[in-house]
Amino acid sequence: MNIFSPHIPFSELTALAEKQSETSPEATAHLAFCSECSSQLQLIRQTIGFMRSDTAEDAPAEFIQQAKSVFRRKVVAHGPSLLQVIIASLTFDSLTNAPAFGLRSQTTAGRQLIYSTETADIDVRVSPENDQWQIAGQLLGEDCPGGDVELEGDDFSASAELNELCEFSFGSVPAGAYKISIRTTDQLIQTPRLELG
Amino acid sequence: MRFAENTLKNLSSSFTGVQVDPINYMQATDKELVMSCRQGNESSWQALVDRYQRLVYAVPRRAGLNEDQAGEVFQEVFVTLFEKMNEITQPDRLHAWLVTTARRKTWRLLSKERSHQSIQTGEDDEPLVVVDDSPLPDEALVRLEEQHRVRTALASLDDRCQQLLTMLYYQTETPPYSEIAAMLGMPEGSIGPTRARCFKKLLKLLGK
Repeated sequence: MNIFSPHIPFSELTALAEKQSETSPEATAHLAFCSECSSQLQLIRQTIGFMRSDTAEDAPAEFIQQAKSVFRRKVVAHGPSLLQVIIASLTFDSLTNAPAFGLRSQTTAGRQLIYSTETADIDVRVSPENDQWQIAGQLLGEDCPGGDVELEGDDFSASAELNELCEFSFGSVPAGAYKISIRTTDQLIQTPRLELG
Repeated sequence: MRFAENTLKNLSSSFTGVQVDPINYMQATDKELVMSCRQGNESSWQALVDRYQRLVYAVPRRAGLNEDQAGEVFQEVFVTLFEKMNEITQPDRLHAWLVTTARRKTWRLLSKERSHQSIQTGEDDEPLVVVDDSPLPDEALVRLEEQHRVRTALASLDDRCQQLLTMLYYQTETPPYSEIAAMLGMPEGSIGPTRARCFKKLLKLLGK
């Protein structure tokens, strides 16, 4: 309190809140009638109380890390709509040496198909396996960000993870039409349907 | 869970006017971080985890759960947050949502533990000593939320204020002013006025 202000200076209130200084008779009298100063003092004391009683501990670092990785795990697993969805086009087919979407069941030798996007190629090799098929492939690009692959057909679907070389494979795939989807951290690449059998 | 595009767009439109990019993760509000997460920003998610890890972990710990059990609750809460990100209609009340979710999951784990223990012991056996029936009273949770708010506001202050207020109020024993002055490289006589300035800023951030 001084000639410029009728209130107790804030610095004095903080000292009072800490009980560092004795409350002078003037301050005591002022606090008794000034609701502004007394509520401010109360607020400072309450805030100090919250700080002094805050004994909460940090969660262990591995818990925090796991929680942070939820975002990436879920994005890869479920593919949020915000991923860039890219449809790859067939640019090479060893069987016809031209874009083709059918694979005859009587084909016995392996077949190679290349699907391309602006930034990456997908090398897919299809070979017969008894009465079924085996599909193996690799995402070709500058680096391998990791991710997973889904093989989706009308009656059969399977998923696999990209290995460190960005390779994937599916065995015992029954005849049918399949779409391959590769999810990386920021892209979802899908191939046109490939017919087996 | 899938971040349904329509839901995203609908919810995003409810918060038009919120600038989320570029974002200062330390200063960003919860609403800004939630919005940014919805737009697929992983750094915003990490900032949310950093901001709330202590509060979420404190709830099961306060209920008497051990570290592993608290870790289970902790993970479930953040997975649920991620899954419900598009359904949170009041992002600025995220702290309350997290505390409520952590409390529910804590209770669920406690009741699971109890039923498991009662099956193991049988009716005629001595009753097991388990944690309190009501280990998380409302007032304890409100206090946790307030402590979190103060700590978050403190983290937004400049380094000098953070250091000073931490030394003054977050230590088990407040160091002597001479020690604080030496550590902060300021005259001992400046501590009082600096503390007042820092406190004023803190209360302003707390909206008080």
